[in-house]
Amino acid sequence: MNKSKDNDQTFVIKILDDLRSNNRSKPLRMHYDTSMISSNDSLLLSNKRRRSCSPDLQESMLTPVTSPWESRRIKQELVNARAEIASLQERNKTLFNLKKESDILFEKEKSALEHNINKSKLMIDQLDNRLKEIRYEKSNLKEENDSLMKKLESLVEENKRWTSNLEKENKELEDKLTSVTSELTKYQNESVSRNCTDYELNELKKTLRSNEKYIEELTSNLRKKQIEINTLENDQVKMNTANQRIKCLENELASLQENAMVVNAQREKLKRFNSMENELVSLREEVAIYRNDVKQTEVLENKVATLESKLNKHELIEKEAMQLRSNLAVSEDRLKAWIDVCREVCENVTESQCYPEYLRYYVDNLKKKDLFLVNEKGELQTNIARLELKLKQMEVELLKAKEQIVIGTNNNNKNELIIKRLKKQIYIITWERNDLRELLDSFQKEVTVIGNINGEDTKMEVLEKAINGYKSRMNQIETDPSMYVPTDNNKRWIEEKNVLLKEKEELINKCKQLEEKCSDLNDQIDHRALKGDFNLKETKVLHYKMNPASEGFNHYQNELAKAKQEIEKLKERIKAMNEGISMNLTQVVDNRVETNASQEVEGLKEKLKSQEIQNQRLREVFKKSSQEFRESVYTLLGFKVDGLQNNMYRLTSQFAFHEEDNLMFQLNEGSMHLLETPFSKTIEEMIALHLGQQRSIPVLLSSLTIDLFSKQSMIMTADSTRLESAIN
Amino acid sequence: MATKQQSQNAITLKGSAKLVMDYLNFGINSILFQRGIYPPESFKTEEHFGLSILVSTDTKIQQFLQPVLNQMKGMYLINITVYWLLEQKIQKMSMVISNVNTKEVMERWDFKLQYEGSGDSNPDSVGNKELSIIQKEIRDVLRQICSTVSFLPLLDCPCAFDLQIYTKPDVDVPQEWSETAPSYIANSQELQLRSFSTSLHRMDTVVSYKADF
Repeated sequence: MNKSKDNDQTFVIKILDDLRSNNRSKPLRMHYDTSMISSNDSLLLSNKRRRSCSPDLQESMLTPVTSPWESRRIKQELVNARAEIASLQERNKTLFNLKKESDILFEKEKSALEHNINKSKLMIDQLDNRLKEIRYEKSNLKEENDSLMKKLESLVEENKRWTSNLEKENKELEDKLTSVTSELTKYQNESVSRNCTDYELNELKKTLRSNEKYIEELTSNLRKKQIEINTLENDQVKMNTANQRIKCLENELASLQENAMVVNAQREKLKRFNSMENELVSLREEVAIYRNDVKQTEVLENKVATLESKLNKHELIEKEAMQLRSNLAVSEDRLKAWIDVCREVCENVTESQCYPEYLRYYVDNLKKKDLFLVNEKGELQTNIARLELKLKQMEVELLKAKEQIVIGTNNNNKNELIIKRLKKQIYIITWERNDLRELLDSFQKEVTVIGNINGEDTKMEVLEKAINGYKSRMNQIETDPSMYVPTDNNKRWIEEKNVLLKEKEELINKCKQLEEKCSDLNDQIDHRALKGDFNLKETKVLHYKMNPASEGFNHYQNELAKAKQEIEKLKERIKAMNEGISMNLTQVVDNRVETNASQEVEGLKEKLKSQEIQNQRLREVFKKSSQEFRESVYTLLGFKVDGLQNNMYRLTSQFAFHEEDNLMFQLNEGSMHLLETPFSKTIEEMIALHLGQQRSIPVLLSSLTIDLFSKQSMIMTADSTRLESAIN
Repeated sequence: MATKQQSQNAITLKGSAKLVMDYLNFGINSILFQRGIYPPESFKTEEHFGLSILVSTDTKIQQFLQPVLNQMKGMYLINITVYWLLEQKIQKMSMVISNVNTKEVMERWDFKLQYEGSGDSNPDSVGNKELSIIQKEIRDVLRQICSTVSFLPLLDCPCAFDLQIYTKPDVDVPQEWSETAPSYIANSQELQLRSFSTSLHRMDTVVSYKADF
C-alpha cells in the first residue's frame, strides 16, 4: 500500500513534470494567448491532481490499522501528505493568483493598445483633414497667383501710361519755362519804362521845390506882417501909458490947485500972525499966573493936611488924658482904700506914717511869724509820726507776746500730754517692775530648789514666757504712737527736718538746673555733630594716600614751581631785550637763569657762614657760662673741677698746699672711680674710711676740705702767732 | 520654600553693605558731576536704582574709587572698607571738597553710618526690609543730592575731593592708607538730607558748606 501510495504521489509529480517538459518542449515563439492556454492547462491539471489525491487519502483513511508501528508510519505519511496537499493547494492558489494578475495585465495592455489604435485613427483623420485643407489652400493660392499676375500686368501698363503722361508734362513745363523766360524779358522792358517815371518824379520835385520857395516867401511876408502887428501893439501900449500919464498929470494938476488954495489960506493966516503972537504973549502970562496959583494952593493943601493930622493927634491925646484922669481917680480911690486898710491893720499908725514901706515891713513880720509857725507844726507832726511808729511797734510786740502766750499754752498742753504719757509709762514701768519682782521671787524660789533639773526646765519656760511678753509689749509700744515719748529732742528733730527739707528743695532745684544744662549741652553736641565735630579720642580719621585732593595739590605745586621758573626766565628775557640783546636770546636767558641759580648757591653759602658765626657765638656764650658755673662750684663746694679726656675729672681743693695736690676721678658706666695720684697716697687713711667703709665720695671730699682747712688755718694761726711773737 | 521666600524678601548684611557702598559710589559720582568738580564731558549716564546716574569715566577717579568703595569681587575678596563696614568699625565717611590752590575746605558731605539690627558681624545675618523699599529710599536721597545744586554756593575755584573715613581707634591702618586730620569748614552752614535704612545699616547724609556772607 505504501509503495502504491508512494507511486501514486510520484506519479502525479511525474505527470506534472511531463506537462512541464511538454510545455518547454513547445516552440518558444508562443503568443500570450497560448501561454494563457498552458496556464489553464496547468490549472486543469492541478484540479485533476486534487481530485486524484483526495480519493487516495480517502483510501488511506479507510484502510484498517494493522499494527501500531505501521499505523504511526501511516499517520506520519498521512501528515506528510496533508502537508504536501496544503503546500500544493497554496501553490495552486499562487498560480491562480498569478493567472488572475496576468489576466488583469493582459486586459490592461489590451485596453492600452486599443486606446493607442483609437489615437492613431484620430491622428490619421486629423492628418486627412489637414491634407484636404492644404489642397484647398493650394488651389486658392493658385487662383490668387493668377489674379496677382493679372494685376501686375495691369500695373505695368499703368506705369507705362504714367511715364508717358509725365513726359508730356515735362514737355509742358519746358514750354512754360520758355514762356516764363519770355515774360522775364518783358519785365526787363518794364523796368526801362520805370526809369521814365523817375524822370517825371524829378520834375514834380522841381515843382515842389518852387512851391516850397513860394511858401517860404509867403512865410517871410507873414513874418513881416507879424512884426508890423507887433509894432502896432507896442504903439497901443505906449498910447495907454501916455493916457495914464495924462491922467496922473491931471491928478497932479488938481492937487496943485488944492495946494494953491491952501497956500492962499496960509497967506491969510500969516497975515493974522502978529495979532496971534500978541495973544500968545498975553496967554503965556496968564498961564504963569495960574501956575503960581496952583503952587500956592498945593502949599495950602499941605498945611491943611498937617493941621488935620495934628488935630487927630490932639484928639487922641485928649482921649488918653480923659482915660488917665479916670485912672487917676480910680487909683486915688484905691490909695484911699489902701490907706484905710493900713490904718485898720496897723493900729498905732498916724496917717503920715501910712506908707507902703511900713506895710511891707508889717507883712514881712507876718511872713516870718508864719514860717516859724510852720516849722513848729512840722516838728509836731514828726513827733506824732514817731509816736505812731512806737505805737505800731508796741502793737507788734503785743501780737508777738500774744503769740508767745499761745505757744506757751500750746506747750503747756503738750507738756500735759507728755505728762500723761509719762504717767502711762510710769504705770507700765511699775507694772514691769512688779513683773520683774515676781520673776525675781520666782527665781529665788527656784534657786531654793537646787539640783532639780525639771525645775530648771520650768524656769526656762517661765523665762521664755516673760521674754515673749516683753516682745509683745515692745511691739505694742512700737505700733502705738501714743506710747511714744516726745522729748526735748523733738524740736531739734523738727528743725533738722526743716533743714533737710530745705536742702532737699535746693537739691531739687539744682537737679532741675543741671537737667536744663544737660539738655542745652545735648543740643550743642547735636549741633556740633552736624557741624562735623566728633570725639577725637574714639575716632581715627583715615584716607587713601593716593586721593585726588593730594594729587591735585601736588600737581598744583609742581605747576607753580614751573610757572615761577618760567616767570624768571621771562623776566630775564625782558631784561635782555631791554639791554638790546637780540641774537641767541634764549641761550643768553638760559645762561642767566643758571647764573642766578649759582647766585642762589652763593646766597646759601652766605647763610651758612652766618650760621657758623652764630655757632661760634653760641660756643663763646657756652664757654662763658660754663666758666661761671665752674667758678661758682669752686666757691661753693671748695673744689676746682676740670673735665679731662676719657671721662676723667680732676678735683683740686681750695685749700690745697700745692697745685699738684689733686684727686682724679673717672666716670665709668655711671659710677665714679678714684684714680691713684701722688696726693691720694697721702690720704690713704681717709680714703679707706670714707670710700672703703662708707662708700661715699662727697663725704670724702668734705672731710678732705675740713682737714685741709684745719691744717691751713693752723698754719695761718701759727704764722700769725709767729708774726705776733716777732712783733713782740 | 521658607528659605527661598526669606531670601526674596530680606537682605543679608553683606548685601546691605554692598547697597551702602553702591549708594556711596553713585552719590559721590553724582556730587562730582553736579558740583562741577570735573568736566561734564568726562561723565556717562548709567541706569541704577531706576535712575539715570552720571558716572565718571575719568580713569584716575575710577582708580581711586574702585579700591575704596566698590568691589566685592567673589565671596571672600572683600575690600578693606567693606570689611570695616561689616566689622562695624566705620562711624562715618566724609567726602571733602577743597580748593586745590589754598587747601581750604569748601564743602563736606558727611555720610553717617548707624548700625541697626542684632549687632553681630555675621555676614549672613538677615534684615527684614524689602529690597524695593530700600532702593526707593536710596533713589530719593540720590534725587535730593541732585537737587542741592540749586542752593549750594558756586565753586568758582579749581577743586579736588578726598574721602575720609572716620573709624574706631582699634583699626589697623593698611599700607595704602594713612591717618589724616579732620577737616572743618569755618563759618559753615549745614543741611541734613533724607536718610535711608537697609534695616541693618542706617545712612544719614549731611552737607556742610561755606556760608558766603
